[in-house]
Amino acid sequence: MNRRIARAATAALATLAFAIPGLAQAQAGYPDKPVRLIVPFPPGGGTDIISRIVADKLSTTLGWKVVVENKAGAGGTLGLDAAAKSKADGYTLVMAQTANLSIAPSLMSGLPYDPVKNFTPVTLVDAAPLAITVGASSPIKTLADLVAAAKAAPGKLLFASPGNATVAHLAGEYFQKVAGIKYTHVPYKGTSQALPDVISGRAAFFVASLESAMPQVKSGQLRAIAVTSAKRASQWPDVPTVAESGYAGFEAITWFGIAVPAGTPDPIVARLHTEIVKVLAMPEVKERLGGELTTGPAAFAALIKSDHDKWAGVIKEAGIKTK
Amino acid sequence: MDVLSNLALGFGVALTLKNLAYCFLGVFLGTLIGVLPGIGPLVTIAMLLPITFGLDPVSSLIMLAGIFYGAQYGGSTTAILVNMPGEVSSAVTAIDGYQMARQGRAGPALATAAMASFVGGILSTLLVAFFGPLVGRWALEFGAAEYFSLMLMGLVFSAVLSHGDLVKALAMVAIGLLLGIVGTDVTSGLPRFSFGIPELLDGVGFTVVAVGLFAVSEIVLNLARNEKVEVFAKDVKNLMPTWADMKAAAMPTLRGTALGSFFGALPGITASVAAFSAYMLEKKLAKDPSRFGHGAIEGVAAPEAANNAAAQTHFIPTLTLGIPASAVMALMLGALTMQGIQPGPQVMTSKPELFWGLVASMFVGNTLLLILNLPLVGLWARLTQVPYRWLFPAILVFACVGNFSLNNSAMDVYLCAGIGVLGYVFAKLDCQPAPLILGYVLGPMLEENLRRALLMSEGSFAVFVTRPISLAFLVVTALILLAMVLPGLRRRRESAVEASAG
Repeated sequence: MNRRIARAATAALATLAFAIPGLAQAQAGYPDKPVRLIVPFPPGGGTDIISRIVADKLSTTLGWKVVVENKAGAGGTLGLDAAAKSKADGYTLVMAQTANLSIAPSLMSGLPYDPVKNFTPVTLVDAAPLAITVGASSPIKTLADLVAAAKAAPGKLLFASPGNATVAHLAGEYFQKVAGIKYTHVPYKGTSQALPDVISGRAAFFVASLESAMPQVKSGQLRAIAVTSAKRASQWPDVPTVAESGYAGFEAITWFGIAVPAGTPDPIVARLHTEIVKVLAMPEVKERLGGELTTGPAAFAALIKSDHDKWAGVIKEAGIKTK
Repeated sequence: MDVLSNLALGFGVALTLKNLAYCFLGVFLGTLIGVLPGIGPLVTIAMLLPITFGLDPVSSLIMLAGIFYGAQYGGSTTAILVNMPGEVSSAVTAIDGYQMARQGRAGPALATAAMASFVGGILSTLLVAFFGPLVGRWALEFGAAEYFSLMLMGLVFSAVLSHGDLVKALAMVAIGLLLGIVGTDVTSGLPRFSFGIPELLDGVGFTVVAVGLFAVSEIVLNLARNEKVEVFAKDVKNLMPTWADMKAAAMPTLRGTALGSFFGALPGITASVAAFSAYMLEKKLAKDPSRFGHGAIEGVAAPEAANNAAAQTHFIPTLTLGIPASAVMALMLGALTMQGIQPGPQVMTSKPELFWGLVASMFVGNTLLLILNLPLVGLWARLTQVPYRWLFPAILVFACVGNFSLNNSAMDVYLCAGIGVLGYVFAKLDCQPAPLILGYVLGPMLEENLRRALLMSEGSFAVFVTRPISLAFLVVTALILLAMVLPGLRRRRESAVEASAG
């Protein structure tokens, strides 16, 4: 009913405004109603926190009304699908991440959206390395120790991850391949379920986002032995990267970025990009969201593509079962 | 003593006018929204989370915690009044609480729930204050093998205790297991029983099952049976529990508190297990177990004490280890992160005013809840006299809103309706919903931990008997089984008790 009225009103307005170039006008006035930012994960989680920081700054500095809408489920697939099926008018944004745009296509045969065809990337917002950690009392002190331990007892070392086919799991598989070693993967339902086993040493090592392992590392329950980004993490300047520990070129990160449904007018995409980049440059935002990013739509699209190829290869080689 | 000076610091923080106000606001909002059927603490906190962003961290945590246990309180109110549990633990309360309400004893049921929760809350908060870090370290000893043996003990325990038709009870447990394993399997990452529907990849949510099974099917049943009776209870008898009620509820409350505190401290276990165990224990200890399911006051007191105790001790792994024990706790840690505080064990030492302020506020909040809720008992009890034609549509609307708001998903509403139909069929076949819920809750945890334990031990079952805590649970399980297969033993014991009593 409402929609029909709205549609009729839009049609009437369009007729009235025949003399004015309607579309251009609409873009000049963008946004003239609330913009919704779909977060494909539940409130309070990492993706939600990042999204709310950006939404809050867009609202307070520009006077936009950006509403965060949590649409969680199926590893973010449901939220992405909802965004893909929304009107491409610039009033629906989605906070997507590696799992949704680069991993899901290789993992789920019935993925309801196409990451490339259904979305236009706007900008990267945050990129976070993974941390390889061990329990504080573990004899493993460095990545070299870990490799040596795995070589001494092939397949015996237990590798804990926050879940099957997460970036953390894939990074662990990827490292196994790169280092030519073999260990046993033990998946958990999220970081919090894995922590007791890792802290107590029942699992030999743990791969998870740096952010999620941070509290335990800070309090001395876990020890970080490497990060998986190309450069050292600003939070942990003393922790070496996997790449500098003898595996040059190794990189595994979780990134977060804003995309819009494909077909959103270019001027609106450009406007969104400009404003969000401005937000990201604010010192108080920079402090919370991770560091130097190449943020342009083209760079973002290239990252989606290159990560897709990398993880597709790992999934195939590790024999991870697809849904 | 150290703890006392820390508590003094905490009360200094919690009793400032500002924090007292936020604590009150939290428990008030929590109760208010928790009372809406189908909307439990998780949804409540998720909805109200943004309100706290403008507050300072201590106040916001105090308020969120208040919302949390306040909503749990409110959730049991609807479980008792309209058979609509807002979350797993109040599903247990619904079993006997709702029957009490139907018998016109909504007042005593609500008052008992309030007092049992209060006792459970206060005693377990003491535990948090005095032994928090110690208990936290101990909880780390629990791995997959320990969890498996503990769950096995729970399952065997409740199987032994089930009365009535054993075959039907087993069938219901099996259906519960099947419902529980819908979704992505943690160990293999593969979907099970999801039929290609993406919404089912995360499984069937608890609220969906509970509201469908209890509330929706109950409404259909009522419509089907008496056209004449217009309200749940014709007359509301005395509002407050009698002295005999209080006496009957006292020990169950204490036992419930003990069980709840234990389970709440383990990050791998949901509060529902605590409420279930408390209920089962009371049924076992009761002289006449057949009263359970027909309005036994112990069946309200024990799970309520247990679930509130678990709600407080949930803060132990969250605050001392930085490991959230439940979705709600994860949300609270998220709220702290939003405030720019790195949650984790170091919070206790680096921000003692935050930790101890929160602990102190739990004493204050539980007291406020009791003061807030007891006078309301009369008002709520009168709700059972609202005619069906007003009450039922309202309940159904709330059920839909509650289910939809969890994931913003219409699928959950359809599922709930479908499970409501199932619930109606079960009731017609005289099958109890409790074993189904038990299978649904325990089954997946049992399976996940069994497979993980075996994965980690390279397939060796020895891990269950070589680890001491696990072995202890298995020994107790064996003893329970022994007691069951040797009914003569039990009879002898009973006659011995009678003889000594006589």
